[in-house]
Amino acid sequence: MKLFKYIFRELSNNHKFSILFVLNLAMGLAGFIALDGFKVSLDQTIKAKSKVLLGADFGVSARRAITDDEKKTVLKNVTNKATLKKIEQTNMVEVFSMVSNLNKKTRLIQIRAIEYDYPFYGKVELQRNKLNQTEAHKNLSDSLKLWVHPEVLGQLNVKVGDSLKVGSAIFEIADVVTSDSASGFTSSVAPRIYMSLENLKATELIKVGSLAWYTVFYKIPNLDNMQLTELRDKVFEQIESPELQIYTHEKASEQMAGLLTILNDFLGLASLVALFLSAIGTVFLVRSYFSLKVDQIAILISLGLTPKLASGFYLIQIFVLGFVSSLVASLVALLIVPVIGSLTQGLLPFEISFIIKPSTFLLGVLIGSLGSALICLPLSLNLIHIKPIRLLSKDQVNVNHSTLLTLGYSLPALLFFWFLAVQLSNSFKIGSMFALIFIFSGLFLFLLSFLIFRPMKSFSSINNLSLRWALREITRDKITTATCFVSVGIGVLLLNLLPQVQKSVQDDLKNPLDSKIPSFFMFDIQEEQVDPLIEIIKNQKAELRQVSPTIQARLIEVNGNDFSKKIDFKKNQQKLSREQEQELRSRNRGFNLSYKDKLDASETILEGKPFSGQFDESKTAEISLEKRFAQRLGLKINDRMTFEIDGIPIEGVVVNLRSIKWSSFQPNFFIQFQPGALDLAPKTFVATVNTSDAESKLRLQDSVVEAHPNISMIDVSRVIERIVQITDQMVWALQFMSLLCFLAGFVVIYSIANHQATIKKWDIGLLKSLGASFRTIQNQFLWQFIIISFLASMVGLMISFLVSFLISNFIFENTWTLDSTPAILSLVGSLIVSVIVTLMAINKSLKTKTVDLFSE
Amino acid sequence: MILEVKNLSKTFKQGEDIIKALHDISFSLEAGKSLALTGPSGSGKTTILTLLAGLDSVNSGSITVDGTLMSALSEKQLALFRSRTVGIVFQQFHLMPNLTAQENVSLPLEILSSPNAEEQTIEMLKAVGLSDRKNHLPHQLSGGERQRVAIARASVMRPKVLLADEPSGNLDTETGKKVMDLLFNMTKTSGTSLVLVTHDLELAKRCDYQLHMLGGQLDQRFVNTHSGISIETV
Repeated sequence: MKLFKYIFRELSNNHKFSILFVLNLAMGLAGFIALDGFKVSLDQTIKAKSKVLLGADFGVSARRAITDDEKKTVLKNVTNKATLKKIEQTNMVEVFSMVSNLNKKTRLIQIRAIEYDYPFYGKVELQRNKLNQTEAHKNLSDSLKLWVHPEVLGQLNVKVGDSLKVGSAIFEIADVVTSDSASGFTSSVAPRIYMSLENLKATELIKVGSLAWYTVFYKIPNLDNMQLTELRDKVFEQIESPELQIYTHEKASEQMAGLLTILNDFLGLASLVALFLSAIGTVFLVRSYFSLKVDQIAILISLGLTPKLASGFYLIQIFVLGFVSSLVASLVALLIVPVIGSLTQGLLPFEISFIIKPSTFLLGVLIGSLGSALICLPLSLNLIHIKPIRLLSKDQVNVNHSTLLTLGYSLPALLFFWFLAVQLSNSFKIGSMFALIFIFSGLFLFLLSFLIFRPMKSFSSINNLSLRWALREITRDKITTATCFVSVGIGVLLLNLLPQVQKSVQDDLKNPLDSKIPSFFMFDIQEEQVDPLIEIIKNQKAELRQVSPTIQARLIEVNGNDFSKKIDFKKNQQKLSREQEQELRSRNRGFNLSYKDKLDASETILEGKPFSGQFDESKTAEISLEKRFAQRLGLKINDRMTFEIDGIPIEGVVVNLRSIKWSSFQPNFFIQFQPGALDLAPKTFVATVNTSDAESKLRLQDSVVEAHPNISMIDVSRVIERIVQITDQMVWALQFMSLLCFLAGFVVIYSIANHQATIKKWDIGLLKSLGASFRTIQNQFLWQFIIISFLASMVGLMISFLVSFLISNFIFENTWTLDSTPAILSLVGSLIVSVIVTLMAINKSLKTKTVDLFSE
Repeated sequence: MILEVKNLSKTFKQGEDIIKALHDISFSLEAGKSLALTGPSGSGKTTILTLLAGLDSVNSGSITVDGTLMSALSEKQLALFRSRTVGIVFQQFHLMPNLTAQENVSLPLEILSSPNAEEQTIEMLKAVGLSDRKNHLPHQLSGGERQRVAIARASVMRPKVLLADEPSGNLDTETGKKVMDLLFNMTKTSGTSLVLVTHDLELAKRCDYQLHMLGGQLDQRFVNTHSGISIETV
C-alpha cells in the first residue's frame, strides 16, 4: 500500500507528464478497444441471430440437386431418437433470371423457390397477409403466385395483382415482402422474389448447367451449437461429394458477415498503427521523464534503495499510468463504436446490437498496462545503471548501455506487437507481414530522417533568426526530430494511401485502359441458344464481345493423388486463419472449366507456353491456370489434373500460368482447357455484349428475354456502381481509422512539443533575458515543427504513392492513377494541425517569466 | 549616472498573501563602477536584479538605465534595450545545451543581427581564454569553463551594465576566484558597470560599493558611502 501511496504522490507531483502520458496512450488505445468492441458486438449479434438469419439450424447446399441419399446422411447421424423424430426439413432453390412485366420491361431478379415451411426460424413478413403465414404459403403454391421485395415494384413498374413473366410462366404478384429475416445478402444487383418450389418447374428455368443453388434446411431441436458442429463434421466425412456445403446456423451467418469481417481485420491493423504511434509518443515521454528523474533515483540509491527496486518503482508507475489510459480509452471507445457501426452500415444483411463486454475492457487494460510496461522496459532497465556517484560529479551522466542490450530489452515489446498484429488480422501471414513491414518501415523512416535533416546544417547562416534556431534544433536534437518525423510520416502515409488505392481501383473499374466495359454479362445460355442469340444481338446492332463455354467439373486428382476429398476437417474445429479457410473452400467446391484457342486482351501468360493448338487425342489435354488460383491450390506447371465431368474423368496437364484483369468484366476462368478437349462435355455459355446507348441496351434486354427467358443478363454498370459504393464505404471506414492514426501522430507531436517547451523553459527564459522577443521564440518552435511535419508529410506522401502503386500493380493488377486532392489535403492538413498543436503545446511555457533563471 | 533607482517597490502575490519583496528602494550608480548587493536569502537582492534587467515590472518607483526610463518601454523595446544595454551572468550558467561555446556566446549578436558576429565571438572567447574550446558543447566543459562562456556571452555586446547573480556560487573556491578575477578585469577594461549579487562578503569588498539588503529594504548600517553612489532611503 505504501508503495502505491508513493507512486500516486509521484504521479500527482508530475501531473503534467501523467496527463500527457494518458492522453497519448488513450488516443491510440481507443481505436483498438472500439474495434474489439465492434468485433465482439458483431460476433454476439451473429450468435444471437444466426438461426433467424439462416432460417434453420443446419443446412446443406450445392450447385446441383441434393440427392435423397445425401439428405438421409444428415438424419442418419442424429443419434438421439427423440430428436430424430422432431427433425424437419425443407428445400429451397435459388436462381437468377430475367423477369418481365406484361409491357416487356425486364429486370434481373433473384428467385427463391421455397416450400411451405420455410423458414423454420424468423419469417418473411408480408404487407397484406401479415398474420397467417400458413395461409400465405398455401396461396403461393396453389396457383402461380409471387411475393416480391418492394424494389421489384419500382423497377418493373408493377403493383400487387399485376402479372410478371418468369421464364416461360406468367405469375401474379400476391404480396409484398416487408421484412425478410432470413435475407442473407440480398443481391446487390437483383431484387428478390419468392415462389413455391413446385411452381419453379413451370418456369422451365432450370436446365442443364443452369446456375442454380439447391439448399436443404433442417430444423433440429435440442442440439446446441457444439452438437451441430459435431453433426456437420460427421456428415462431411460421410458425404463423398466435395462440392456439398454443409453448415451450422452459426457458420452460415459468419460467412454472411464475411465482407465486414475482412474489413474489420484491416481496421484492426489500422488501429494497431495508431497504437504503435502512441507507443512511440509514450516511449518519448517516458524517456524525458526518466531523464529528469536521474538525480532523484541516484539519491534514493545512495540512501540504500537497490537499483532494481528503483527501476521497478518507476516501471510500476508506467504500469499504473497505462492502466488509467486504458480506462480513459475505454470511455472514448464507447463513443467510437457506434461511429464504426454507422460507417459499416449496409455491408451487413442485419443490424448489429452494440454491446461492450467486460472482456473488451480487459483487453484494453491488458494492452494499456502490460503493453506500456513492456515498451518502457528498456528505459526502466536503463535506470539500473544509474550510479550515485553522479551526485558528486555532474559530468558522470551517461546511463545508456549498449544498443544490443537495448534491442534485447525491446524484444518483448516487439513480440507483443507481432502477436497483436496476428490476432487482429486473423491471419498469421498478413499479421506477420504487417508487423515486419511496419517495424522496418518505422526504422527506415527513423534512419531516413537522419539523412534528410543532416544537410540542413549548412543553412546555419540563414538570415531569419527563428528559422536559423529551428534548423539548429532540428539537426542537433536528432532523436526528437526523428520521433516527430516518424509519427507524422506514418500518419500522413496512411491517410493518403487508401484514397490513392481507391482511386486506382475505381478508375480501373470505370475506365479500363485496354478494353471497353461490356453493357451486359449473359449467363445460362444453352448450347442450342447460342446461334439464335447471336442473331438477336446482330439484329439489335449490338456488339458481341465474347462467348465462352462453361463446363461444371470436380477436381478429383492432382498428379495421381486424391484431391477431391477434403483436407483434414478436424482442423476446422480450431479457428482457421483466412488463408486456411480460403484453401478449404477452394478445394471443396466444384469448378467451372472453359476452353478457347487464344487469350483475351485481359489475360497474359506469366509462366509456361501457350496452347499448342487443337486438342490431339494422342496427347494429354493442355490446361492454363490463373496464377493466384494455382498458388492457392499449390499447383504448378506440368502438374497433371484430373477432373470429373458428368461422371467421366478428364485428365490435363498444366502448360501455363496466366494473369487475368478481372476488372475487364470479360468472361474469364481460373481453368482453361485447350480447344477441342471438352467439346463433348455438357455445357452452357456465358457472353458479353456491348450496346451503344441506354435505349438500345433496354431493347436488347427485352428481346433476349422474350426469345430466351432462361438467359440471365447482368447490367454491368449497375454492378460497377454497387462495387464502387461498397469500396467507398469500406474506404470511409478505413479512413476513419487512418484519421485516428493521423491524430495519434499529432498527439505525439503535441507531447513532444510540450515536453520540449517544458524542459527548455530555462532556454526560453534565457533567450528572453538576452533580448529575444516572444514572437522570435514562438516562431522558432513553429518553424521547427512545421519543417519536420512538412518533410515528414512529403515523405509520407511519396511512400503512400509508392505503396499504392505497388498495391495497384501487384495486388489489384490495375493501372495506378494519382489522386492529388487527398495528397494536397493531407499535406495542408498536416501543416495546419502541426501549427495548432505546436501553439497549444508551447503556449504556457513561452509565457513563463524569466525570473526563475535567477538563484533566489 | 548609468543606473538610477527611485522609490522602488515590488510585491508578489502568493495565494491569498501579498509579499513585499522590495520596499521603497532608491540608489544610483556611476558608469564604470561596480556595486555589490549582499544580504541573506529572501532579502530581495535578486528581485532588484530582475527589475534592473527589465525582466519583471515594478509596482511603484522607477528605474533609469543609461538615461532610459525602463517603465516607459514596450515589451518589444524592452527586449531590444536589454540586448543592447544589459548583460546578465547567472549562477547556474544557463548555457544552451545543444549549442557549442561559440554559438552560445554569439546568441545576443544573432538576436540583434549584428554584423561581424563571428569575429566578435572569437575575440570574446579569446578574452575569457576559451578560444580552443569554442566547438565544445556545454556538457563537455568544466563548471568554470561554462561560467566563462556565460561571462563571454553577457559581455559580447559590450553592454553598459553587467548584472551578475552569484556567478561563483556554483564553483569551487579556486575556480570561483579565477572567474571573478576575469569578471572584474573585463568590466574594468571595458568600462562596464557591474551589479553583483553575492553572499560572499570578501567578494563584495572587491566592488566599488556595497549595498546590504534586509527584508526587502536597504540596510543603512552597512551602506558604503564611497563617492559615486548615492543612497536615499526612507
